[in-house]
Amino acid sequence: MGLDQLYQQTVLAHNREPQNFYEMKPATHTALGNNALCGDELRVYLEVDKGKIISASFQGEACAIATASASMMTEWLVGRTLTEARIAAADFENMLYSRPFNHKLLAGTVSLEPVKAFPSRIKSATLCWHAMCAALDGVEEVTTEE
Amino acid sequence: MSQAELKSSATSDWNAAAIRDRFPILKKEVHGKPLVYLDTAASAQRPDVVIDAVTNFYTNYNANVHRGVHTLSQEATDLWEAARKTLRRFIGATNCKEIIFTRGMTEGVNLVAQSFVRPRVGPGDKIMITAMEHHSNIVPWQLVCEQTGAELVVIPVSQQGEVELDAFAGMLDERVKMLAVMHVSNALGTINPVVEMTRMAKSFDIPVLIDGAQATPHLDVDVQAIGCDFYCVSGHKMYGPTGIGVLYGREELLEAMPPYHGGGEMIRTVTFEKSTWNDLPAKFEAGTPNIAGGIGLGAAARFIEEVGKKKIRTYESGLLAYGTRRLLEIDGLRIVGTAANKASVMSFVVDGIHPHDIGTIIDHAGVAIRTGHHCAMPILKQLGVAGTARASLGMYNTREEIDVLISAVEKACLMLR
Repeated sequence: MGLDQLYQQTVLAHNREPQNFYEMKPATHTALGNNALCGDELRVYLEVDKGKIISASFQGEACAIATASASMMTEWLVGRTLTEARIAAADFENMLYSRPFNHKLLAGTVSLEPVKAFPSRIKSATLCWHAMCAALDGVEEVTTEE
Repeated sequence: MSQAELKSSATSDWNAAAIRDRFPILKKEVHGKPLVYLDTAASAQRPDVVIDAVTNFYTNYNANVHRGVHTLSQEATDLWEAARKTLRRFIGATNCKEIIFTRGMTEGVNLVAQSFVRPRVGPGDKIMITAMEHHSNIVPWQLVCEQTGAELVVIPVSQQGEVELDAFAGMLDERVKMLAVMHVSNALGTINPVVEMTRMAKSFDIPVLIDGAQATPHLDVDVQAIGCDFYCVSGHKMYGPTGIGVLYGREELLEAMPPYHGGGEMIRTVTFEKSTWNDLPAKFEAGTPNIAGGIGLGAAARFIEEVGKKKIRTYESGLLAYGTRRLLEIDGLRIVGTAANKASVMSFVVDGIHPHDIGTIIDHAGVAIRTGHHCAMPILKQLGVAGTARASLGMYNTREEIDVLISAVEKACLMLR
């Protein structure tokens, strides 16, 4: 897979104009994801009510892949149960490590599948999902550095 | 054209094609494009003579050193010690007892931190570094501070990336027990005024260690002219193998220091009650060393000498000036590290584009650069960036390669904006 698939129009559009890019005040859950090695740092905010995610947002400075991924993820999360969110986080990793995954479940984020051909960028794409899970777990900060 | 560009253009005896021919890897293609290797500050490429020296050792001379009476062991020892002599000459040390083979620059700093500084400091004492140091010249001192109660103090660096000498002068006192400073910054390219800083430190009898990892490939280093007590060299940054380096230390200091690692080679006698230590330099070379690496490093040093240290400096300065000028033509690009005196490194950021994306996109044009914090997080944080894209030069790079870099970065901008 080539550069054009990695940086396809959907990804570039999410990077240029990220969705849900704001600091949520107050948020019921939040965590910082950082990958100092790459210089990616973003904070994920969630509003959870009765086991469901009512709204999701993020803020920070990160590369196009990490930013687009967070933009897509925050769109995807709204209306999902916490269980669904955790399953999707694991499945998103499956997608990037070339393991079987549920296309239907991840709809809206699969334009990041080509990242799997760029091992040095996988941690960028998964950063927001790790931060989301950390927020649900009540962990303040998570890193995806190896 | 700048002065440096003009001067390098006037150097008619520099044959870039002949130099490039000596580095087999430069014929490689990446993503179907000729490799443009601009990551020498992370690790330089190896010339044929280094590769041949390593292969020749394993093919014809492989045996342990300083161990056997057999011919092969003697030949291996001769090659190993010849490499030590080359490195002595290369950095201007007085004698071979002052040349300790290490695993790299990092081990050199740790050795000095633990064997020289740790027994000499306690609460109230200070160990001094600059704000631009590589993590390898920060963390070993933090460990000593934790172990002894000494304090790590940091000389400020300007937004251009230069050590603030006035502030440094004001910080010097008799409680400072060590000054450790990098010769050339890997993140910014700054050449620090190590001669002047050493002289200033010496007026308070402060021992001085210089991290020379980024200096020996680009500058004519003479440890006696600098006047430092310790100087750390990295093999792979100066066209030699990985896993090998040199620690230069003044003989009387090394003599007085306890061993760093215990094991074979570094002892004279061993009993269960007490062991005695070998003479220098063996005292600091416990265990079977990286023999092929040391021999390869000797070949690298001879190669640099043959090409000519001064010629390399002149050529690379011209290339650095050209690259800097061309990069600044790119809209929204800012150079991070604009010291007056620089070597090799062009660290940059582009408005609205993350360095990581630049790195990936230009890799597809065959251009290899480093992106991220370059193991120098504190200085990048001070300069307000989480990471940079860094193109770093070696003797094999050309203006044509800079042009490839420029168009690749322009393409990345076009794609991501």
